Amino acid sequence: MALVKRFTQFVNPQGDGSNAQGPEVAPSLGTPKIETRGMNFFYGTKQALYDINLQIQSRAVTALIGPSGCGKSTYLRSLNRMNDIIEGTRVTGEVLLDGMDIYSRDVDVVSLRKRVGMVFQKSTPFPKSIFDNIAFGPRIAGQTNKSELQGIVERSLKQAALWNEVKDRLKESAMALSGGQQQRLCIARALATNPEVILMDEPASALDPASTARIEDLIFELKQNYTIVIVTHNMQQAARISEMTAFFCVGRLVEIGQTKQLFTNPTQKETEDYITGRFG
Amino acid sequence: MKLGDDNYERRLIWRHRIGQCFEWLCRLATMGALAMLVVLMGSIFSSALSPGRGSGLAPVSLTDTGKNLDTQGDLTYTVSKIIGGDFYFTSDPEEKIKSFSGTDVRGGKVVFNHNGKRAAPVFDLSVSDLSGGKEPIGKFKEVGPGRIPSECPVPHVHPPKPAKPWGWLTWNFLTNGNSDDPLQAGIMAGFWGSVWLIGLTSLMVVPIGVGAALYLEEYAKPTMLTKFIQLNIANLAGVPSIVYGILGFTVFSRMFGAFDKQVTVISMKFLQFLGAKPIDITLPLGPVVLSGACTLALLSLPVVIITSQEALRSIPASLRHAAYALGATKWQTIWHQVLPASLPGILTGVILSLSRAIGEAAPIAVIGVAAHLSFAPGRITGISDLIQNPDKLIRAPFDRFTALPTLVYSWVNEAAPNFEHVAAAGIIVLLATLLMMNGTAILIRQRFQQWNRW
Ligand SMILES: Nc1ncnc2c1ncn2[C@@H]1O[C@H](COP(=O)(O)OP(=O)(O)OP(=O)(O)O)[C@@H](O)[C@H]1O
Ligand SMILES: [Mg+2]
Repeated sequence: MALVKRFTQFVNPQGDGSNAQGPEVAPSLGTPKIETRGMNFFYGTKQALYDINLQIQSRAVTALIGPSGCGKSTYLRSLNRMNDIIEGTRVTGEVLLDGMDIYSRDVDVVSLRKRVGMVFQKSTPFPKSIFDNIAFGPRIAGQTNKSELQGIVERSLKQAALWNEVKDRLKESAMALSGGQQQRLCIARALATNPEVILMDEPASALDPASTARIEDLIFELKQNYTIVIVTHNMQQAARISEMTAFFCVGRLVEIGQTKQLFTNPTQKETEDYITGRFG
Repeated sequence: MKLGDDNYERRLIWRHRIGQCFEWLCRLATMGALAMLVVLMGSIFSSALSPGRGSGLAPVSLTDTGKNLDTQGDLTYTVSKIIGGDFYFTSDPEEKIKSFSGTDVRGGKVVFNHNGKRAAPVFDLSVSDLSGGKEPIGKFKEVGPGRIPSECPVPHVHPPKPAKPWGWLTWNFLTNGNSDDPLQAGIMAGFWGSVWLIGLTSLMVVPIGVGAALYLEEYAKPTMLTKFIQLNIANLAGVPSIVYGILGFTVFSRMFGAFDKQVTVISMKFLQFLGAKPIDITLPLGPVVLSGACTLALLSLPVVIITSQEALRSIPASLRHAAYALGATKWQTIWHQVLPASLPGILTGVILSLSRAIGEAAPIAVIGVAAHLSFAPGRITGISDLIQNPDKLIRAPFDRFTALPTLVYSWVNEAAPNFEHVAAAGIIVLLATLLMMNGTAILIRQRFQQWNRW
């Protein structure tokens, strides 16, 4: 397994992060939470991402769009090093979280993932009770106090707009929830570790319009406090919920800009073709 | 071919029929399997619950043919080739007799001493009248149940009382040690021997097997060496149990002959504060519970490893990824998510292999376990005994023992009558023990399974 074990603690560079790097940050957009510089990504010998330069703003929603197989998920996973689990992957270039390279040698992957949470396309509740699902993150982080845990579970479920539906059945199996509820449970689970960034890979792609709307509302709520990166195939969704949109095509970042501007007035021909549905 | 034409419809009909045929075939196969099970269990239960053949003195009477024989007075019967016992005069129970008269029989002077080998005796008979020297008036071969001649009255032996009118699965059977007498033979020593054996075996097999599976599945890199080990484990699962028996005999029971029983004695004195005598362990272990358990552990280990690996492999990668994404380390992911989720599968493998192990007679016999033993391992006689002498719990693994399949096997081989019923009762106890042990595991499995609905 490529999961690198590093026992040095990930230093939270909250204090020195702002002045360390970033001369090219546009002042209007503020300091980026995450920044990738000249990033290339390889699955073995196959290159999946080419020279990605991208800034993700703090407390905002950044949408990643693009045709299937263009590397959106790969990019998203590289932001919390979930790709390390896949055998034979390799990254070059820099991925900075608060100005700190997350691929540098002294970064602890485990604490990185506590800061950068992830919600997958397919909801993956653990085969345990609803309570245990949410409490898993805090528990492995060392939280054992029962009342603390209860507080965390309640707060996370409320944040994920699931509390009212499940508050009477916290001890029941999470597998018995509906698809939409499961997805919100996964979001709540990601929130329970109190991350700074939440990565979402097509979180609403398997859901009905009502559940999708709830998740979109949820994202809207969450961006007050969290930095959110979301992959979506739904243009309207991207337009509705995101401040920034990045368009990927065959492993390259074609265009990034304010969502409104990118959808109404794209600078690249490819982007225009894609968002107007004339792609391919 | 157009949609809706004749040909198409005929095809549809045939497709439907073939489907139905297949369903019926499957149904038939299930019925067949069920029928076999019913026949098997039925024969075992009927044998165990049958009263068995009695032995001892049985009264003899003459059959009533309804004919009025034109004979000169009394008839004389001469019997030969008797199977199942001998005729005696009531007055002299020492002397076998071959010949007696009808009057003797009518007068109740003749008895048959039944040895229980057959349900009723079978004998060759020649009948003559009183004049004696003349030709016999009748010669009959193999007179017995179902072959009673109708020409003249013949002696008829009434069957003795059945040995165990309520079957063989009695309280006595459960609490007695083994014995040469089928009426006294019991299964207590074998039952506790098997319980100890399986307990120790599972204590060894579960951690080692699951640990090995975890290592091979989660940690080991797929090198040539890992593949080689993997292949070997798969092959070991198919090795006949007698081979493990020989291995167990050499390694655990005899210890390569490296020790001398008189010389090498390990004395455990740490229990002396309890007032117990030191526990002496002589070093070729011999056929004790521990060597049996080690042998069975080796026997069931490959299956446990393989099924546990299979169970671990069946956990979707998404579960691991979800745990990693929450900041779990590899160890936390395995311990908190992967292991609990795969526990039902792992337990299934453990149940299967331990069930096989508990029923194995061959390897246990090879390491030198005797059937004729009438004490439980450690000579524990009951709970009160155990409370008084807790050191017996430590003595037990180093004590000689006998196991359920060994007992059943010895009873099946026993020549004396009625032992087949004892064996059937033993098989039922073996099956019940198996069910009890599996039931516990199945309960645990269900507790975990209720969460797993992928
Ligand atoms: N585990 C892997 N091993 C090798 N190649 C992979 C692996 N995962 C993805 N790829 C390849 O990398 C490229 C990008 O895949 P990725 O999953 O990032 O696409 P995506 O943009 O998320 O597509 P979709 O919109 O369909 O989810 C694809 O060509 C894919 O075949
Ligand atoms: Mg994807």
